Amino acid sequence: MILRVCLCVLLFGVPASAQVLQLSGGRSTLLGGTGGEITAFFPESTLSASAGFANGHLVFGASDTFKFHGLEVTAGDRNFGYSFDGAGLGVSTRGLFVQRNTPHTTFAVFVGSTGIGYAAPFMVTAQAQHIGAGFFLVRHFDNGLLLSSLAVIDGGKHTAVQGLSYRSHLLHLAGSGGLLQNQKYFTGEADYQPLRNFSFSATHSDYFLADHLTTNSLSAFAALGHITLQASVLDGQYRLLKTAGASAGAGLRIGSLTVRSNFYESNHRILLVHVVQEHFRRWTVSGIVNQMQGQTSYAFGGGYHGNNISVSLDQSVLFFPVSGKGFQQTTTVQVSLRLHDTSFNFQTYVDPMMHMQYTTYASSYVQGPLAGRAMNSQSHSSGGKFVITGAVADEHGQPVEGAAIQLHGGAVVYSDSQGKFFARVKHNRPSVLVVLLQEFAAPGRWAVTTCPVDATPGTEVLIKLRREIAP
Amino acid sequence: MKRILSLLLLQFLFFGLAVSAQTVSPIIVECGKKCRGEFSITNNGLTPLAVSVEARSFSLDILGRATNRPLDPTVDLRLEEGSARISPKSTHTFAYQLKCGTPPCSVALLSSMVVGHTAEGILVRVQLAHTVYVCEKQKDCRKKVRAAAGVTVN
Repeated sequence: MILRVCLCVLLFGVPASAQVLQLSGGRSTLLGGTGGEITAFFPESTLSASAGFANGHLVFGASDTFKFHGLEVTAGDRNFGYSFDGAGLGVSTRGLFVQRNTPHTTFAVFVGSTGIGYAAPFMVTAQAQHIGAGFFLVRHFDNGLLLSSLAVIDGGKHTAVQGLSYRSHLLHLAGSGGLLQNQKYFTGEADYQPLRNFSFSATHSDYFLADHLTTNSLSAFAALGHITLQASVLDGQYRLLKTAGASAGAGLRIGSLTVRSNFYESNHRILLVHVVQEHFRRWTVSGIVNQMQGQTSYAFGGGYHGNNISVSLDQSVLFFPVSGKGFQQTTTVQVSLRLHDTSFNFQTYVDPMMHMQYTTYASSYVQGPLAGRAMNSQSHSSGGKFVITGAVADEHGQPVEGAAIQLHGGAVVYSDSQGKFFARVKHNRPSVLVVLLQEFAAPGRWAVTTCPVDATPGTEVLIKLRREIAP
Repeated sequence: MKRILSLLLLQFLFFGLAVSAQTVSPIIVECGKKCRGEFSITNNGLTPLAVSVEARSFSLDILGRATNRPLDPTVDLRLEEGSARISPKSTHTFAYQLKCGTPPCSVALLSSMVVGHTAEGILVRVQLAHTVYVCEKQKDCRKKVRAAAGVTVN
């Protein structure tokens, strides 16, 4: 009950006085949840509240993170998750969490309740199921050694994991093992790079899904000028199902064109994938030929990655030890759009059985009254071969840096340390020019002394400003 | 130096939240005679960030310290954008084309950003450099430029 009251206070009381607010909301069939989160950032603390449905149940969460005598303290929900080299472990907690960071050491303790958590880009919640407590310690040594320890008592289950890793310019070794919720656990990785263009890697991993999954891999990679070569063998065991696979491939890169051929073998099935990929500035176009059991199929992929929009369609071959299917082809579609301070993301994933899963979410930042002046205009490049140039100076002829100028009612550009600015436009005709005083990155208050009404490509405009004395 | 430190201290006191590390990537690139590249600035802060980009030629002393100067007339640089407003927790990519008339050329693309200021006018400005080394051939270009400058340290 107290937590629900806190949640209401966070949702309705806090935003009015926050420095910055982050609002997120979304839905995922892949992660099985729908919900939203509001986070309020203050100079000394961060308050967060989430609510939604996860796997058919109403879930909620709230937390307050603040500094206290050099410690980072979280009261409320937090994922007690830590990354050992090559593996991540996490426990969802509701209670008190304290962390101390020094240049070489991170130490964290928690006490409260543990349970099943939900973590997605748009919502983080925890459910209280057991009384629990734990600590995590990671220590970096100057000689490349890293030591980590995790201990958690979670209801009747015990976790005690030790991790050790070593990294030099030739060798990287990492391993962690122990008890993970009363089950034996080990993950290890070894990478050896005897020459700049040759590397070898071996891994062993334990995962805990509905049951215990073990995977092993051995791989080699070589780069010889424009040519790359790779080979790997993999195996996995899930329950009594064993799956093994092998792959080998070669690639050739000539300028912006890349040609790759890969061979995959698993469960006595052979798959050949040939890819031709062309990169052109922010565009990528791929042509794919698949050959399996005497049948040939064709596919296309590609994408565009810009500052405000990214779109991609990719096909990849992944190893699936859980289903016992070995190598399978998957298709992913990703769309990201940014409008001002709001981002929209949509991702779909089509598995080999043609089941489509998706995750879609939006996130936005809102500047509160404590954040100071916010820049509200959208800045983007319209491109084009014509250039409008100009300079901004104060009443003494000194350049003004950070002055905001809007051209043609669209793009906003800022002056540099010499007071100069430029913008590319598509048409060789005058563009309306407006000085946006409220958008200035330059400090102080300013007034416009002289400014032309419009600007024409090829001629430099001069804008004169006057610094105003603050009342 | 003391004044700068004082300004930084004030900045941390008044805008502790706003000062998050801004990053540039990649820091260094090597090119052949004609160069088409891009670099990204990431705003790790919670408030929007205005960034302006300026180009400078530079030379190195024997200790590898750079001295900036206005862009050499033999360098032909075409920046797609000279400035941008970067939203919180997002990345903006600046694309460019660079031709060097008389290789080797060393060019620094300096991204300037004001990471905070007060109504009294205290200003903290950060400059992050994306460095481009241009030679006849791309391979080991930076090494050659440093060797030509007599740089003795790594």
